[in-house]
Amino acid sequence: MGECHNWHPVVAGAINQFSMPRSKRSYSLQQEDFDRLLVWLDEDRERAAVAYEKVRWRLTAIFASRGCRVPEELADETIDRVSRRVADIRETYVGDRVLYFLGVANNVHHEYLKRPPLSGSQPANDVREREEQMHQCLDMCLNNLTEKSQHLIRQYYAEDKQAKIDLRRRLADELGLSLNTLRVRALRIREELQGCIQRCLASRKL
Amino acid sequence: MSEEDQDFSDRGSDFFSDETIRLFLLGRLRADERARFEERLLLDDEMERRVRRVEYELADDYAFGRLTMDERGPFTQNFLVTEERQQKLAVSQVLRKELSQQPGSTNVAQTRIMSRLRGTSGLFGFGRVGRPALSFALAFVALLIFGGLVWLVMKSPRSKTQPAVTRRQPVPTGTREYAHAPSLTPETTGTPTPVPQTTETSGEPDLSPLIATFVLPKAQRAGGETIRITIPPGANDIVRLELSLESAEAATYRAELFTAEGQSITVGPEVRVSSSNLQAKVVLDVPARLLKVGDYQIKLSRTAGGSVQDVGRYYFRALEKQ
Repeated sequence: MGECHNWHPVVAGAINQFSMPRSKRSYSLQQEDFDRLLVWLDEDRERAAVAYEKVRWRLTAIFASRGCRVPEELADETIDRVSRRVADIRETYVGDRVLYFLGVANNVHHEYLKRPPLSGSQPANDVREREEQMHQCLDMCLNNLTEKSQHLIRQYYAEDKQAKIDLRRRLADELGLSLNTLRVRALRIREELQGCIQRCLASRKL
Repeated sequence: MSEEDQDFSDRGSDFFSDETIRLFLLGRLRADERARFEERLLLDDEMERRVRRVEYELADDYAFGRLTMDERGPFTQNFLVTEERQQKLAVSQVLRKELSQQPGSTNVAQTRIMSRLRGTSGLFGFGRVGRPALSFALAFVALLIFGGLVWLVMKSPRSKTQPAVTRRQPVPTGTREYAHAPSLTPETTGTPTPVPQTTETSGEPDLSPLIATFVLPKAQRAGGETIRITIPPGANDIVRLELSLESAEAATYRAELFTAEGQSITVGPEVRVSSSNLQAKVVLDVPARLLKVGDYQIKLSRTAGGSVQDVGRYYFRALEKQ
């Protein structure tokens, strides 16, 4: 397949994710199965990788909603099984290919329900240090925003409970926006902050 | 129509509202609805975008204490099960501590700066990213500034008999008059005013509490700016709230302090006001340790002729000292 750094970042990310050792895997998926899966999702390699990421994220959300404690693992298991089946179904399958994943996910879920319940606690982290780093990263990321975005996000998160509603209505009026538009913009900035903070934290671990 | 202007409130039976998305994330959808939702999520990019947005809002709601008791369990069991969502919650919690003005949140920026000055985590984190020289230089500058502030305090005539780093003054002894003519101390609405010192000190280190006085006007129906007060830092310090009475009637007054949510904090003593006192005020002393950053209200009532009447409300916002 070539070195990962030659690929588009999304493709490389999908391949890296697929290639990462997963302790619960009972079957080592062949590279050709994975390639076949990508082609089945889309003949264009980059679009296929994007589709792969979307399917994985959505399956994870579905398993989490169903109360599964290891949704990412189950999503990967689902994708692995579909990958192994693609060779058999690609000529005859009719319909939206993404929905095939849902059928397999249902089977994976049923098997999961038969497993003994998971136990054990999360390992303890250095919470205080991490929190301190997060604050520093948040400060930096807030400063990276435009002045307008900073003002919006600071006001948006300034209040809670009932006061929040009044404040956001006033903020929307001040900015000449509908409440929904304010919400969407604030959540976009929130998403931007999330990514910035995570990159900042990752850079501090290096 | 742009994405921002789209109204998702009513789009037909095939449409899932944000509330439905929230229920999905909490694992509380009905089975038939869940099946349709899952199918839609797998097929629809816009649906994924909306789910991601509601994830942020759910994390915010949890961090800001807005989830109901029924929701908190499903939140931890069904929502907080992926690393990505845990990271979202972590950022929501940081946002709450940094930006929210609700009671209970601390002035994190100040706390972190103070901890840096004490050398517990390295000034601005530069030491952690391999710039110790810059870290030491900045720490030295901060120390110089701090030392300068201490020197200025030391120079102040009021603090000559007191420890250098405090501005504490003795609590006035004797009986306090709660309803009185305008105080002789300089008063401006919303600013702290240390009470003039009138008692002698023994020359020993003075640990008496600071009394910060604020004058609160009665709330106006048409709105108006919320008075902001600064919480003195000492655990034994007092916030003295002077409630202006627009027209004093002969009665016994009582003030009670509540949080914005209606939780009672403290009740002042009954105060007798005579009708001849044209500039009466009711004073409520609140220990600073009872106040946290946030909004508060004072309900003033009076008892006259055996009946209790609501006189009015006084609002203020408590902020931490910068």
